[in-house]
Amino acid sequence: MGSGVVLQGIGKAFGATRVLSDVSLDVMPGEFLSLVGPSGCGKSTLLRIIAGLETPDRGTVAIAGRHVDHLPGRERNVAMVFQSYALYPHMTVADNIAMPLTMRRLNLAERFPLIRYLSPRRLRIMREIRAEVTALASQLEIAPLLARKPAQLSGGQRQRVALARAMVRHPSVFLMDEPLSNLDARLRVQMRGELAELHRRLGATFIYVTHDQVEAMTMSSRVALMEGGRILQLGAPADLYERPASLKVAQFIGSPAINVLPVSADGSGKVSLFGRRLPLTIAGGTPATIAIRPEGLRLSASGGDAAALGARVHRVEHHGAERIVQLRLAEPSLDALVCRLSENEAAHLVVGEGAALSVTFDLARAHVFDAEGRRLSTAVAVGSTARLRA
Amino acid sequence: MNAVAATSTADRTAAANAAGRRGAEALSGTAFALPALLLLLVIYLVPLGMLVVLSATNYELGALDWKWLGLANFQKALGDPVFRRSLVNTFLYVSIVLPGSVLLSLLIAILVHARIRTRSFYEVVYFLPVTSTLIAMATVWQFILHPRLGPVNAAFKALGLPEIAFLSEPALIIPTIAGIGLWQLIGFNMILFLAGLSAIPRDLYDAAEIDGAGGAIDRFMKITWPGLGPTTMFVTVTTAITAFKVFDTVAALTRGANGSEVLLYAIYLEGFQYFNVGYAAALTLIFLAFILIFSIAQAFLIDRRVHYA
Repeated sequence: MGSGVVLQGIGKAFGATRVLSDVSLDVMPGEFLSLVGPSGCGKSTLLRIIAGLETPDRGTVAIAGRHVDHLPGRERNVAMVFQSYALYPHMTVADNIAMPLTMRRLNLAERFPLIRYLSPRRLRIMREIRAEVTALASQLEIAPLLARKPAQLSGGQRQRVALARAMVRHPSVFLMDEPLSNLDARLRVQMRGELAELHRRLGATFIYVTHDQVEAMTMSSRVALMEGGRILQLGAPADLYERPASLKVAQFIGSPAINVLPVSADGSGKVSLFGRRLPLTIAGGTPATIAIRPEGLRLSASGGDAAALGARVHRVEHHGAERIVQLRLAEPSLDALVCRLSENEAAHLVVGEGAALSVTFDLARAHVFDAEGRRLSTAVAVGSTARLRA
Repeated sequence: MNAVAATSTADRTAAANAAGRRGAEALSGTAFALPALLLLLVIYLVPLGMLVVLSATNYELGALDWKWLGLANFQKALGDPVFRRSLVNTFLYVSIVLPGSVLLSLLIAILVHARIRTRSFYEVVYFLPVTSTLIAMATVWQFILHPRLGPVNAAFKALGLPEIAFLSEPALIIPTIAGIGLWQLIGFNMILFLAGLSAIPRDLYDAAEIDGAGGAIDRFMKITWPGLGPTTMFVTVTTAITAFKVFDTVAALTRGANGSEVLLYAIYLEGFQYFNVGYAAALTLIFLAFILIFSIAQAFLIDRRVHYA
């Protein structure tokens, strides 16, 4: 069963570079939590601090309710999967997987060359380990590879061996540092499913570092979005997508990226876009931007609606079940917008390059942020799908 | 009919083109290999052939006539006390310098590798002897180890120990020269080991830490030593050959006096001091045979246990 991991006030600097500042995180037992963020946001360092590979300057780490700050990595009952897989190149797959077990069950003399043959119990222990490794290998479908060296394996096979090495001693916490980023796209999608399935079956706690928001969103029970050594938002994937706490979160999560347009508000909190009043009011604060997901745009044939914004189709990407339409707003702004259309929606429109269209917004799903990027609470005035008013 | 003829002509042209291309490729391949082949011939193979011929004669430098001796030179070598002594001395020298320099330079490389700010300082300190001229440095060593003038014996005297004649006491000469050889070789081997250490991915040590092999001995046994396999192999073979070729320290410090001849020095004496070119050629062949046997044995023994990443 998984163990909870509690981080409190973690701070870390490498020389003059601050990598983490005051990060606190409460990972539930058995949870699949992703740390996601751009490179250099401190997510890998945070994972290495949990693993005991890095010592924080400040703050404490507790695993299963026990402070582990003074313990080296091997005594924390965590397993780690590395981006490079970090398989021991001179050992066979079987020896690689067996490593965590041999290191724990045999003492130094029993592992030492020549002297090891003096131990009467060594052979019995080695047999037990071999049996466990074989069982695990067939479970992960790598049994035929046991006698090979890592250099003779494909990327996907190495990935499985690294997983097997992590699983072999049944740790309560799995730490994964971008384990899929060295795989090709097709295999990555397959492994995503297998990892999620593995998490369900083992019931262990998974802490998963990735820069790929799709991985984070598809596998995790919760996602912590990090930037500049801080956690910007922690929540379920849907929370981050539908209720981003800041403009940065809104812009990082979602592909294609969210549309951002400048807005202003009058004294009573009524929001205007390009001088047109939106049926949207702000409870407090000064709005600076409005952000709407690509699927929150509504397109219609040009000229039908005087309240809509005029736009021209710049480029269309066909994705099979949907189309991504890149638009340029007509006067006065010329801002770029991106819209996600299902094939059904697209069927009612002429969406060719250069075509003129009207754009309206689904304001119930729009987010308004102030100049610092903080989320402002909004109220939509009329209906759920409001139109722009002149 | 015409069509068939046309295709077969086309096929034939294609085949001819392919053959032509293969011919051109073979020609350019030979051209590329030629300079190396010529050098190999002129510098190694032809002299080696002459060496074999000379070793079967009693040719002396400048002599007008000579005659075939067959294997007599080799027979003479077996009974030659100077040659036998030089053989024993050389093996003693190699048996000190080879394990000593490999182990010491590995140890120093691991220690230096762990430094962060002072690393380049230590690299320079240990590499300096490599850049020095051994003949000149031998003179410096001669002074340092001098029984009456040298600082080493002065220190011994201050501690109340007896004076030691490092370079004239027969039992001490070869170990002393081996010590100087070590001093000169360690820096070079250390640099090779440092390069090998840098090539070991840091991730492996992290994985070892998590897997429970984080202790110093386990890290060395499980990661460092296997990771340095190819480097160790290379260092061992080159050090062995360098050690077999010991010459300049002996020539500068003892000139073979007090029973301190080594193989190359004995060959030098026979060939260039006594002008017994035929006999010197025979000794050289024996020397080459030793190096060859040693290198091949090492390559086979170690290669089986080395993992090349």
